[in-house]
Amino acid sequence: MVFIVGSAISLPSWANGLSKTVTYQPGTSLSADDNPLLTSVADTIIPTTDTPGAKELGVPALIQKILADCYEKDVNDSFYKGMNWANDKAKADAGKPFAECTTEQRLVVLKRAQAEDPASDQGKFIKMAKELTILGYTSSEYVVKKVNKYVMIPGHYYGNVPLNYVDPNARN
Amino acid sequence: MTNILTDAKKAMTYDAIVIGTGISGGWAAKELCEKGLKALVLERGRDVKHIMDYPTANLEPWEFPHRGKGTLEMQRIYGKTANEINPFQLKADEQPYIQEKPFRWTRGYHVGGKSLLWARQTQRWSDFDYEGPLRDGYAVDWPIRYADIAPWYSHVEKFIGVSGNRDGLASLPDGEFLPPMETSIVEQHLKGIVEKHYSDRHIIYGRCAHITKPQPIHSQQGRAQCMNRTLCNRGCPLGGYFSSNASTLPWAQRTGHMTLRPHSVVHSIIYDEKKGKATGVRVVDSESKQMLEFYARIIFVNASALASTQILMNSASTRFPNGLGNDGGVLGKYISWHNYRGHVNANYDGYMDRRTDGRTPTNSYIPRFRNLEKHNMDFLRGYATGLSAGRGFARSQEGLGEDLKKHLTNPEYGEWGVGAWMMGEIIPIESNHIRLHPDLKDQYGVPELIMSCDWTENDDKMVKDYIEQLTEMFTVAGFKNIRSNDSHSAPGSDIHEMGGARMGHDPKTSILNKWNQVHSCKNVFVTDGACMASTSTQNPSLTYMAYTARAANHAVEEIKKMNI
Repeated sequence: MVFIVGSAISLPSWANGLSKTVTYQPGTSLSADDNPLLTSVADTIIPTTDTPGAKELGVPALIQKILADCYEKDVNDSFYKGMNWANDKAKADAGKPFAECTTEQRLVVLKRAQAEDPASDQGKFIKMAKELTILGYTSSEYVVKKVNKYVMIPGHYYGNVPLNYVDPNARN
Repeated sequence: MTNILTDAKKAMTYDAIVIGTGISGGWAAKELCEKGLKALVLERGRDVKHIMDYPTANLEPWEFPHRGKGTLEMQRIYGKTANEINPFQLKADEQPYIQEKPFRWTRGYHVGGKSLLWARQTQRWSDFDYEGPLRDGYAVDWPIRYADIAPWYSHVEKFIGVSGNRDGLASLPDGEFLPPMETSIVEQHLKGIVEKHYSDRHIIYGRCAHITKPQPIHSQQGRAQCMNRTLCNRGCPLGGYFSSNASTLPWAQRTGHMTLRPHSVVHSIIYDEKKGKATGVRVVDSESKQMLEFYARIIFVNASALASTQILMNSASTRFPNGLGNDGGVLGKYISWHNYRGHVNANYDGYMDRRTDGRTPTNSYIPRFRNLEKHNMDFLRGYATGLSAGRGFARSQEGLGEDLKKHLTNPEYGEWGVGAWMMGEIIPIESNHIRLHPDLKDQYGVPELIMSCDWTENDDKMVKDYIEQLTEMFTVAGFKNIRSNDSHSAPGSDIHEMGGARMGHDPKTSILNKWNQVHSCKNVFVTDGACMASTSTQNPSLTYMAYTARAANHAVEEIKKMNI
């Protein structure tokens, strides 16, 4: 899933007049698809199992977009520095880049980042990476429809149903 | 030459001018236009047409490019809390104000105002509320009683559609109700226990302006049944809840008598010294920044409590050097709001084989029970309580990798969660006031407001009692893990600011008479939150709508009688 700024989804019309140009593009030369490090970070946080994970659901590109569009430069700098820290740790520990490590090796590195000072670049990086991966994953069409079975309309409210109740209108 | 001027003035002349398109302004427009008056309805913000200007209303979560987060550009325009979901955000530099003391001023500056953003709770006042100031010796006596307003409550409720249960409580009179929605079994459980344990307390369904069973009057407005989307604040394409945009404004438009003018910032009201009455308003066109004048026989001020007061204060003349109608010096004083500081939350491990399903736009409600029949606490007045209990998915975000994914994809039903929030009455005092800054003006040349409002000891005592009582009720109900806190939020955080041009009997101590007319300038009516002499505990919008309908009909009668 390649994301091109200004394609597929346009901003709501009330936001017209806001510039749609992304002025600060981190990872400058890297597009989402050829940012294997970010992709493998998201894929490690929510991996593909018998159901799609963050990578298949386009979350890495979304993270890059949200960081670029919604966060100041200092937040972006910390994120990418922290991510490089993770890559360096992987190289030191396993002798290869993060993206080429096994799942176990990658998890060890990310958990080390979690154990770091939350104010450090690596601490900020893992917190933000996890937050945005969860956001992207849980708001993806797949999870909203298939896991949450969310139906916008018709809705309903029942105040007292058995625990195993399945609403006939829910997506299946 | 004279003729050209006369004609030009005629083109700017209407029967009525309504300042504001929010919940009360929309009602003024509807009632006045229905009675045949040509009304100019002014809105300082942009137009928002029902359905077509709700761009996010039908977007699914994945359709938001930033999944709801505001871009840096949006943050620059709307402030740090900007998001891409709510299309009705206020530009950060739109209208600066000075917080002499902390005050949070939430505004809805677009057609429809805060009627697109409200919590839609609609509870009537009773004489326990209207008689409060006189009985307990604070503020000024209300010049009206429940009997004056009751028929207008009915008039409004039938039109807007109010879902409610007939509870038969003197403290919270029943209205014209459409069927209630369900409440949860744990709310029912709490109700059963509390009503048995305490003779003075009731837990009822929170009456709300949602259509649960459309009546012909709703179909005529083009509104349909609420579908429990609970995306209300994006604008409801169904018109399932009441807003000016879905209801009163198109209704007024249909009469052919309404001229809606967005981008019109009212600067002041024009007072004619010779005629001894108001003749029109000065408007700054927010796009051209030009000052224009419009004229009318009557003026309804519905700009929202503080903004309406600001307009009156900025309307100085030889007759009224301190602001329109301000003979007694009380304009801008006795500002009040609601005390939402107290919160009590808990869990419950009963009914573990049951849960809730779906979404509800309302909640349960405990009407005020403190100091109700008589004053017997160490603080004045009391509080109502909003309450909800539900049991949906709990989705842990623990762990990384497959562990995390398992949590996210296999949400579990935790214990029941219960939450209660306080809605306390504020005692209006003179020192809680707003005033115009002597020098600073906004981009339209209107003097900026200085907010000088603070909590009192009465509020602190009430929060303490609220937390004690809710904790006790939750304990009696067998709830556990009871947590409480006093948010110490800034005044105004409740978005129920009231007063500034209060109603009363005496022009020396109030601005408005019992018909919401300015005592000393009877063709000006103020029928929004500015008119409130006391706050009681109910969500105020329903009462503003009823006052507005009543005042508009009185205005038409007075015009017929040639009194104004």
